[in-house]
Amino acid sequence: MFNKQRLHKLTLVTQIYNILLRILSGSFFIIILIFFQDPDLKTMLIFLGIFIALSSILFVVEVIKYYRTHYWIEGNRLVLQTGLFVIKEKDIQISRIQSIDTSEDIVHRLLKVTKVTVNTPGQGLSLDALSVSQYKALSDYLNQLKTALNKKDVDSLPEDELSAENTEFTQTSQENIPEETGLFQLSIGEIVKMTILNGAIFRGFFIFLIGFNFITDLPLDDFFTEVESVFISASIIILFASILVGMILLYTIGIIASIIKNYGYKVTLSEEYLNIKKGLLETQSQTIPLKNIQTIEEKQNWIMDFFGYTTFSLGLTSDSSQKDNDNKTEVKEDGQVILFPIIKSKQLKPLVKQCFPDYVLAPVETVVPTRSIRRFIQFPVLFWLIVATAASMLLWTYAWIIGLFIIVFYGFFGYRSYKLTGYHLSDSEVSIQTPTLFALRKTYVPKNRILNLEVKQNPFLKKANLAKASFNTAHGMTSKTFKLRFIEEKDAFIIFEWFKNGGAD
Amino acid sequence: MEQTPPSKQLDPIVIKYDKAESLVSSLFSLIICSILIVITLWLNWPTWLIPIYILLLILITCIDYFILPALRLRSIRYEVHASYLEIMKGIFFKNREIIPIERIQHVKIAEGPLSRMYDVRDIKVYTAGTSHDIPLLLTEEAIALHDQIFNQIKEVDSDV
Repeated sequence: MFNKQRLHKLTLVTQIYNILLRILSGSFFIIILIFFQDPDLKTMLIFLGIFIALSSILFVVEVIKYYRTHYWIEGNRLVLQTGLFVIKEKDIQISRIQSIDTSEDIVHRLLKVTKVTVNTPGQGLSLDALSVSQYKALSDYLNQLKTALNKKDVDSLPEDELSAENTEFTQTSQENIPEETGLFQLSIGEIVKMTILNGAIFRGFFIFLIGFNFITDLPLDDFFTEVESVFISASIIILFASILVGMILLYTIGIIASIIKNYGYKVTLSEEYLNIKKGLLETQSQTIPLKNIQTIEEKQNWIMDFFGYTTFSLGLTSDSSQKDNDNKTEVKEDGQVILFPIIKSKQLKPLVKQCFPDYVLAPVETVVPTRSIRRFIQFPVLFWLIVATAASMLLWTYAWIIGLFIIVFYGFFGYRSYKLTGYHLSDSEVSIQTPTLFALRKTYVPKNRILNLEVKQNPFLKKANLAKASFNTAHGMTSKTFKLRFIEEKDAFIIFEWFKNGGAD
Repeated sequence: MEQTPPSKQLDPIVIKYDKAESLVSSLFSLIICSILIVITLWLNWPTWLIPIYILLLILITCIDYFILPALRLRSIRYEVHASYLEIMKGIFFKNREIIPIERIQHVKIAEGPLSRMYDVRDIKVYTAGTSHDIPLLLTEEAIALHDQIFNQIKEVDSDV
C-alpha cells in the first residue's frame, strides 16, 4: 500500500534555501569584516568563488542524499532510510505514534510543500519535505493503521501479521478522524496587546538602557548634582526624548515580529490532543498529547493583572528526543508550552474546565506567617546592601540610590510572598501559588504526577517552627521543582501526610 | 521534624568506612593546602597565611573524621512502606522525603574501590527526572533494599 518512495522533488529547492541560509549565517561576521575593509574587486571575486564552490558541494551532497532517501510503511513500522555514504534506517512503531506535526518555512510555503514530524514517546522521525497531498495521504494512512492496530491489540500479534493488507480497514477515513473543537484564537489586536503586556519588551528595553549608559556615558551625575544651566537641562530633554523614541521604536519592531510569529494563532482540542497552529511566513503546527501534560499553570504579571489579562501554559514531559533546528522542538525540550498567550482572566476558567475536566482548580489559602517576611528578603537585601555600598564607595557616589531602590523593591517582594504564597490540597490535586519578582504563578498539579515530595528544615527554622516543602514533577527531559518556602511546620507536615496517604492512589 | 521518623537506621559498623573516606578526602585537602603554600611563597603573599592554612587543614580534617561520621550515622534513616519510600537525611539541614514506589523508574547499587573494601554500598533511586540516594548501607542491606523496591515496582503498573 505504501511502497518505498522518495521525498518530494521540490525538496531540492528547499535545500538550496537551507544551504544559502546556513552559509550566510555561518559567514556573517566574515562578510561584514571584509566589507568594512573596503575590498577590491579581486578579493570580492575570490570570496564569491569560495561561496559558489561551497554551495555547489553542499548542493551535490543534498542531491545524493535526496536520491538515497526513501520512506515506506512495513507492517507496524514507518521506516525512513537515508545517508550519504552509509545508509541508515530509522523506524518507528505506528501503534506508538503520538502525533504528526507539520511546519513550513517561507520557501516551503511558496512551493506548497511541508515538513512532517512524526512523534512517538521515544524518538521522532522527520520528513523534509513532502507535498501537501503526500502528507495528507501519509497521515490518513498512518491514522487508520494506528486505529486498526490498536483495536487488534498489537502486542498479541506476531510481527509479520501486521501488514496493512491483513488489518482490514475500510476507506471511510472520516469516521476515524477525531472531532476537533476550536478553543481559542488570537486576533491581531490581541497579539499587539500580548506583546505590550507580557513585559519582555520592557526587559529588553532596560538591558538596552544599561548598555546604552555604558556606551554613551549619560550625564547622570549632572542630573543628580542639579546644576541649573540651560545646557544641562537641554541635554536632559534630549536624553529623555531619545529614550522615548528608542522605546517606541523597540515596541514597534517587537510588535511586528510578534504579529509575524503568532499570526492566526489557533488552539483546537480533540479527544486526545491539543493542537496549536500559528505563523504568517513560517507556519507551525504543534500537537500536544493530553496524557503528556504534567502540570497546568496560570501566570500573570503586574501589568496584565492591572488590565485583567493572564497567560496559561502547560508543563509537559518531552516526547521526542529528536534534535532539530526548528523552534518547535526547543519548546518541547524546555517542557513549558504556552497554550493561551493572552486571555481575559474571567474567560480562563471555563476554557480550562473544558480542556481539562478532571482538574479541580481550587483556589489557594495563603499560609505564610508574618515572621517569615524577613526570611524571604534577608539574603537578597544583604547582598544588594553590600554591592550598593561597595559601588558607592568605589565607582559612583550615587549608586546607593539604585541600591536603595532595589532593596525597597525586595521589601515589597517579601511582603508579596507573605501575602500571596499559598496552597490547597484536594483529594487528587494540589494547587500552589507563588509570587515571582514580577509575576504571580498559580500551578495545579495532579497528585499522581508528583515524583517526590520533600520537607526541609534547618535549626534556625526549627526554632521558629517553620519549614520548607517542595515537590518535583517531570518536565521536559528533567524535572521542575515547586517550592513553598517558610511556611508553618504544621502546614509542611499536612502536605507531607497528604502525599504519603495516597501517593499511589 | 517532630513526627515519627522512618524506622530503619544505619548499621554502626559503616562508621569505619565513613572515617576511611574522610581520611581519603583529607588527602585532597592536603594537596590543596600544599598548592596554596606554594602559591603563597611564589607570589610573596604574607607568610603568616601559611600557619592559617595548616590550622584550617587540621581543623577540617578533625571535624570530618571525629564529628561528622557519628552525626551522619545517626541522621540517616529510611523506610520502605507499601506504596512509598521515605528517606530522612541531613545533619544541619534536615530533610525528609517521600518517593512513591510507582514513580521509581530504576534502582542502582553504587560502589567504589574503597566502599568495596569495607563492604558498604549506596543505593540510588531514579524517577522520571529526579534522583535520590540512600548512602552508607551494608552490602546485604543494600541488596535486600534493592530487591524489595524492585519487586514493588514490578507490582505497580504505570507508564509515567
